[in-house]
Amino acid sequence: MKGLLKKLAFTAMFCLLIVAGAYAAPEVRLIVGQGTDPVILDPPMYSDTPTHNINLLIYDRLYDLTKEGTVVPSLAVDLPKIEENGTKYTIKVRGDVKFHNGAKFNIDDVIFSFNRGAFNDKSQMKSIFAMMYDMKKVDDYTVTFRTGKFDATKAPAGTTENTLKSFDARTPYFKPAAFGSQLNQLTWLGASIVSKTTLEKAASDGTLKDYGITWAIGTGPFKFESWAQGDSLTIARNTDYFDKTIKTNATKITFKTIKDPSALKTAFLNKEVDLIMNVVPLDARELETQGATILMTNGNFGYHYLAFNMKSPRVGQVNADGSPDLDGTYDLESASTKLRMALVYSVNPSDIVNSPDIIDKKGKVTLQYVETLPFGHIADPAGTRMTEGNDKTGYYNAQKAKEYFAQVPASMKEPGSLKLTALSGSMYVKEALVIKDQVKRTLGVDLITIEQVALSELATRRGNADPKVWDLLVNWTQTDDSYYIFVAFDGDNTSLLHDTKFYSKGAQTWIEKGNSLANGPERNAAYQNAAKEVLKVMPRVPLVAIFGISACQKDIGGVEIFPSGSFRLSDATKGLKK
Amino acid sequence: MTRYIFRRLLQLIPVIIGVTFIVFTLTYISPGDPARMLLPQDASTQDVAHMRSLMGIDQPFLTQYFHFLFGFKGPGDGSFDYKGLVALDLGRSYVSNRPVFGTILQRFPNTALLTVIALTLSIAISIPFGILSATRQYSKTDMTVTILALIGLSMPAFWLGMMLIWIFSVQLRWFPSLATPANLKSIILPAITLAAMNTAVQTRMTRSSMLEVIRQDYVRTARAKGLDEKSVIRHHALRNALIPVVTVIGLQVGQLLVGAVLTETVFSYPGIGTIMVDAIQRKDTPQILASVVFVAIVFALVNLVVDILYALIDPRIKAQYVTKRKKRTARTPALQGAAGAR
Repeated sequence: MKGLLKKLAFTAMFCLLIVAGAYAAPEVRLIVGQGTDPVILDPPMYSDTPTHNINLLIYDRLYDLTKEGTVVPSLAVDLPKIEENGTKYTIKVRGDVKFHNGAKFNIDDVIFSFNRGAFNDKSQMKSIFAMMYDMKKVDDYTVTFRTGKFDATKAPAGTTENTLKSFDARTPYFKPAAFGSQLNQLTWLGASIVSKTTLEKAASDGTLKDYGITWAIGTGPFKFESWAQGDSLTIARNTDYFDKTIKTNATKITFKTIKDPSALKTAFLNKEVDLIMNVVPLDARELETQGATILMTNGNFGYHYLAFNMKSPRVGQVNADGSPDLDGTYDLESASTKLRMALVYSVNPSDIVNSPDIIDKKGKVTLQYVETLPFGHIADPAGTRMTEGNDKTGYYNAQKAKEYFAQVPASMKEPGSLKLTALSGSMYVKEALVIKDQVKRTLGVDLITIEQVALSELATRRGNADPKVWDLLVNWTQTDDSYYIFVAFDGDNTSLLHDTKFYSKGAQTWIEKGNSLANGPERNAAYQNAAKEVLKVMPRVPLVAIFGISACQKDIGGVEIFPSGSFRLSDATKGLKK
Repeated sequence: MTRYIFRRLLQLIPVIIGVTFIVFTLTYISPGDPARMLLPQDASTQDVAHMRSLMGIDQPFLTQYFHFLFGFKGPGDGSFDYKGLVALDLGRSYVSNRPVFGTILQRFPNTALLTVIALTLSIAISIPFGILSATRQYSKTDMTVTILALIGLSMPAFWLGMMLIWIFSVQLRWFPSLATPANLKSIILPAITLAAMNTAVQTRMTRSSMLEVIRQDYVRTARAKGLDEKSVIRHHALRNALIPVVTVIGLQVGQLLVGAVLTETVFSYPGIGTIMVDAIQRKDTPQILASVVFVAIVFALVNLVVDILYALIDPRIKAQYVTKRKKRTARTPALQGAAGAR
């Protein structure tokens, strides 16, 4: 009898397993090919696009930015209440959210996350929180903070903005100032919310050092599962996700690192990966003919530019003793300006745009630093230098170039005397070669020497702008709106054009005006005026507004590509698209 | 023999110190500021200076080298601290924040697996073909083997890899284009790519070495004794002919470990080669130093193993070593006797 019961129980268990297996949701794994390994799954600590794609799925922020650029609540219940001339924010957050480890989300997590982003030595996202102070918990689901600027007159000697290491420490020395971009900046990945209790426990048991490497806890639609560095990273669907409207049918997403662009393309053609991003234009053409779905941003993915080192005595502005003249007013009649303008008018970006080997028409000639974006985009170019150019050949004007060059002293016309830096092995080197050739053809002198450098050296050169090392630089910058508001209009112009150590008093006045206003036409007009001031001096030539290109297999649906070039995969489906 | 191995191990110490000094110096003088890489683009000069102090890279060169060897304790929260090379702890990567030696140890088995497969493949092909080529000198077989070896020598690894992918992955769909240690089938193409040049070198080496040996008097004597050709080759010629081949193979193990960089990149294989390339591009100093030191140690150890094998294969070397020891043992009592007399 006992044996019979055992047999029956075993049979019942077996049948149950079979039935459960039949009804269990099949695994749908989406495989994303990326050119580089993610760096760390700890949002404020690093931000590149491959890391960004993953962190977007693991973490949530208080607010999100839609594809159209509208701010919508995510972990917050509504848009913030903004009072006292735009300087005081009150934010309420949801009460039905849990972290992946089951910890309940509340306002303490928000305050903790913002403090981490603002004051941790390794944070790369301090700028998001740079104007916040006086942060107060009202109740378990409400926080208030103010925006303002450091007031040196209030601070004792030796106290600087950098020495204040908490929002409370800032309170006595900050004076209120509106910052219209604050809300947009809360949508940035660096403002993602981490679990206070979890990280504090990790700090005490010594596992915090591995946060973002071997484990990561967020509130997002996917949970961290595994990461074999240099190979692949897998996240699994968070079935407890608070937002039940997401449409993805993927149970897992694997991000496969494929460093070699040709290997990435081959893996895609072999259907070993479902999606690839940052496709080079030449490959996009081939993938399209092979039946891939090509996704493209609408031109504001970024722009390529030729920057002048404004500390260089050859193309920048210096005092009589050769030291950089950065007082904010520019002598447009100096010899170095004449040479700079000769170069500006020698460059014809259409050769870069149309070259199948460089842009292959996956971008357009641009005359300004912001293409198609609401902030700083000059809508009416009347009265600006932009009227001298067109959307086919940019600022190219051989006649003007020669006229300017004729006014440059012979000592500044030595062949090879202008040092141009570009990232080694990149498409910028090809662009630099085009520019070198155009300058030689237009001005009759082979002025430019190209130097290719590694990524780390490029970062150093951009930061230092040492005129002994480089005069010209070809590179790329992102222009998606939230980023650009910060980079372009944060103030002091060294941020605006940090590559060139450029500072314009005129632009600064308009930037400060724009920063003090809330989002709207007036603010936009102020930023446009700032951009016009910059164009007067032309510290860098905008070359091409490029499109972000990604490709996905035919059966993949719901993938959105944002202006920043990152994927939004929360609605991605596999196998459902006919 | 134990004494010989011990002495060779001791000799490794100055080699490793020399390597670390050279690598450290090159990394130090190479352009690029790691602090700038860690900070956002708009970081102020003060931010950069603060980060440099946290990382300890604001110190003079020799101090930094000393830290590298014996450890560093920075002014920050301890995230840049490490115990130094002597404790096999060079801290964490500036970029990924992972322990640098941990990353290498995690990825090294992948590279080792690829290297072992490639090496086995190259030995399995090169030695028989080298012998065949030598024993049939100037025949059609010899010509074919020689031409194939030349082709193998002339083809860059990345090009061969891409061709193999195009033929066997894209056209025939026999193998995946992405290699992963979890799928042995996927390692076949990278292993062939990695083995190609070595196979060519070893084939040529075996051929020339065999040609030299089979003309020796003792081989002629063996033949004169009436032994069949197979026996002569297998028992008399091959063992001696393999001595220089083993040396070359030993050196090639090191080359395979380093040469895997290109192959790993083409096949997206997660080995140590790609760690090194990434680290160099991002000026991730701890990762660069740890990787190079690790490869240097492995290279030195492999060469040590080769030298030991060499002694085992070649009785002359063993005899030379034994003779030296006997002479020394014989001399010692005499000296003791002389001292006693005084």
